[in-house]
Amino acid sequence: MLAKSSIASLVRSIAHAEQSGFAVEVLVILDRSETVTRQVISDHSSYQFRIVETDFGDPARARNYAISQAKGKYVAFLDADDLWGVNWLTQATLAAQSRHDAVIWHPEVCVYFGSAHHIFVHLDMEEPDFCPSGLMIENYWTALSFGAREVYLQNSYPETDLKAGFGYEDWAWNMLTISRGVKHKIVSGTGHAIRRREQSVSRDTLSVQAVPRPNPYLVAYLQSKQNRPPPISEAPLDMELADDLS
Amino acid sequence: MIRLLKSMSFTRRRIFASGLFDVDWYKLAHPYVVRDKIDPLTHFLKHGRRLRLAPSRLFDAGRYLDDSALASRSRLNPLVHYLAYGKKLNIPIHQAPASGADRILESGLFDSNWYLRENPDVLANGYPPLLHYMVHGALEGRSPGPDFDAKWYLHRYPDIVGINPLLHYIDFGQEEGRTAVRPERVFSIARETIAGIEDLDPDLYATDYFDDIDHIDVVDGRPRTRMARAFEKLIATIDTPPKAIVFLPWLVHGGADLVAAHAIRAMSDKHGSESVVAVICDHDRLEAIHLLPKGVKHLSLLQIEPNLSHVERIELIDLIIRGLRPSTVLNVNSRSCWDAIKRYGNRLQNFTRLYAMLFCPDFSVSGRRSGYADLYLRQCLPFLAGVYFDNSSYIDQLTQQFSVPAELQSKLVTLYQPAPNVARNNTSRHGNSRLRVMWAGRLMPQKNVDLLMRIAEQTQQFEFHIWGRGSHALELQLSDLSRRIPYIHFHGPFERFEALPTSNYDVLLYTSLWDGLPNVLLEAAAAGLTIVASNVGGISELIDGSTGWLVNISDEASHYIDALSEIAMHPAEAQRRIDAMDERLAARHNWERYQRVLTQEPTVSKGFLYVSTNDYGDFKCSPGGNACQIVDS
Repeated sequence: MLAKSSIASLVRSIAHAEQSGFAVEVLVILDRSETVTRQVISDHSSYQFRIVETDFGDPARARNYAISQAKGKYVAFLDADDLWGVNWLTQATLAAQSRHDAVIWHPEVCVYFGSAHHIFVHLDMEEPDFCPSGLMIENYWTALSFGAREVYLQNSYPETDLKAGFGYEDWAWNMLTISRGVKHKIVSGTGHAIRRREQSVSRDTLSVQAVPRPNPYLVAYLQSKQNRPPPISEAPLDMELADDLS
Repeated sequence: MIRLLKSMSFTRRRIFASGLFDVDWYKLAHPYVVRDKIDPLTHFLKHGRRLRLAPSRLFDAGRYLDDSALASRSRLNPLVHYLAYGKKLNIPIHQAPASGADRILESGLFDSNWYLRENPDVLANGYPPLLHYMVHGALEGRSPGPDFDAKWYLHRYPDIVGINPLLHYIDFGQEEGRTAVRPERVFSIARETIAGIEDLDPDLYATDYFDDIDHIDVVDGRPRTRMARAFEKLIATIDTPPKAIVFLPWLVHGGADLVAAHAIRAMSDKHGSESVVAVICDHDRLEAIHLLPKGVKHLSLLQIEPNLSHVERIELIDLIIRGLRPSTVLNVNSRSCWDAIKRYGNRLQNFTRLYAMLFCPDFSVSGRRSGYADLYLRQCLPFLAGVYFDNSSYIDQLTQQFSVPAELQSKLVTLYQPAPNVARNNTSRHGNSRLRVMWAGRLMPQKNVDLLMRIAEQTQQFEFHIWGRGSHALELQLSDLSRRIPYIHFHGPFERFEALPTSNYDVLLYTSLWDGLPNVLLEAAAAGLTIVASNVGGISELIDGSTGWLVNISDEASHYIDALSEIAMHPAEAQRRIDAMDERLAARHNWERYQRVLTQEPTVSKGFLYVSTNDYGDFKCSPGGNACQIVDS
């Protein structure tokens, strides 16, 4: 029944986007979902949702499948517990249209409610105080991201395997995409509401001390550090420029 | 001014003239002096020694007292002592740690113009703004600048009482993720977000989410723990992702350190020094750093963050391996690394191939077996790609002790250590001169120094030269023995074996109670010494009746004396055994064989030196989870 609020927020955000001139397709992936969830979704059938039932039992595979089925230029994820802010789709699309490189967009703030009561502020990779090593320890962004479908198609979510100690498909995906040159940025002035339930997958993940699946995030960061040109003050002078200066 | 100086005592005049007392700095550093209207120099002269107060940024009084026994013993104010005696004696002085005011200025959070604008009373009184803030403003809850809202900070964090809130923020709050100003923008976006959807969910509309807004935690993902800080610093020092990481407890002059250095050298030779990183995990001791090949990077966890706990070091090791994903990881006696493998080995084996080295059992002071094999091998072996031993006897013993199944037994590899190349220049013993017996090692219970002393005392026909350091009590006993008995010489510590005058000796006597295959025997053999050793651990794999004298009843002095007598009487036989030892070293303890074993064994997972063509390929485990396979791309 909690999905009802999520769907309602989605409908509201779609309406806002449509008023701004954007067309939105809704694809609902019901991965091993409960009967009540299916019922709640079908109550909104008037919105012409494309509903697909799957049996992956893994959020990564469900996300990858959703991407493969989506048709739009951009993709936005909404998990069944959570709510988008009204202007999310509109502002995220505008932000995405402003860049031609590979960028994944996140809201500026996430308001945690339910069994949690705090505000999580997303970090922007292009801010000077962004700390790359910290992403090895904490996930900087929630799973409700937005970006060009092409970027998602080129970067599948790594599957989880709690028995082997691998969880957090979104965290692993964030790291993987960065290692491949994708930027993670915030859409200024936007927010989501994230429901924290007493018992959630992430708590199960915590209990087995899971970590993201192996990925080349830090290695790629170190390699990029090597390839980065030295600061201007340390860079050898171009001969022509040196002649001018002399 | 001149009149004022003249009216001062000689001490005061001398202090002022020295330039080491800065009145303005002193007032800012100790603002209560101003508040209580005490003359700063009088305060310093009266309390400076007891409270270890710095008179200026240029003189660290506390350190001066700590460094100089002379100053510490005297009852003088440290600056007075320095000016009267220390300066002439060239006692060094150091800069004082930053005062609170220094730290505030360095933070950039104090804005003098803003402070004067916001506080017209300060401007009207002509009070220097920073001094006013230190003396009055901070305690009155005034803000130092636009980027630190003191009223918000004190309201939001009621645990901060009676201290300067800005200093709390600089020293602690910042790292703890506390916010310096009310996060108006975040609150505004959050309010707007919830306002647009709160009618959709009872968890949002049933209560006012922002009812107590100032006490809603605002966090970002950036971790701010001590361990996270250490990891950030550590990553900042690494330029090249290493192919191999060797974890060590320390790097001192010990057998295990030498063994680790061999492995590091082999890796460095094969893949380049920039491909190897040595991580010193458990103690910040790097006395034998010269053992590392040139260009190999070393990192000391405790140098990076001195207060890291054992648990934090375990977490850091896990992070290092998961983040840097070297092809191979080797643990040589680091307890933190053993604990990391025990706790996280199941997942870590998917990030790298994990190896360890083991040598021999160890015993606690109370005599309990507490070596790394006893403590960790059973739990860690399923996650390890291989374990190298410097002798095969210990493998046999552990296999039997733990009933290691066959599939795991294949991971246990004997890796004979390479013997050093030593130039020989042994002087031959003349006629009836005494046999010159050398003993070299740590003066610890394991080495059975008691037995050595019994052997030396019970015979007079040999000359004993004893080298080593360790237990203070044993050092005293050996010194005493050396004084009493003319043919016993206790020389004290030695830095490394090759520095010992081995060419002056005939025999190495080795009396250990338990051991693996100690490196000192390889070094002594390479130096051309005849060896008499106790038959413990894996020693019999090197020393036997053909290569030296092995003493089976290892705690009985008479058996060692018999062996020494035989050597003294039969120099030709001793030489024959030295020659046989040379052949054994050449066949088994050579560098090529060492590299070959380290590359090819264990046969399933390959050796520590083997590197997959895909450096960052996935290492996947067999269904049983006990044998890592390399997946080449």
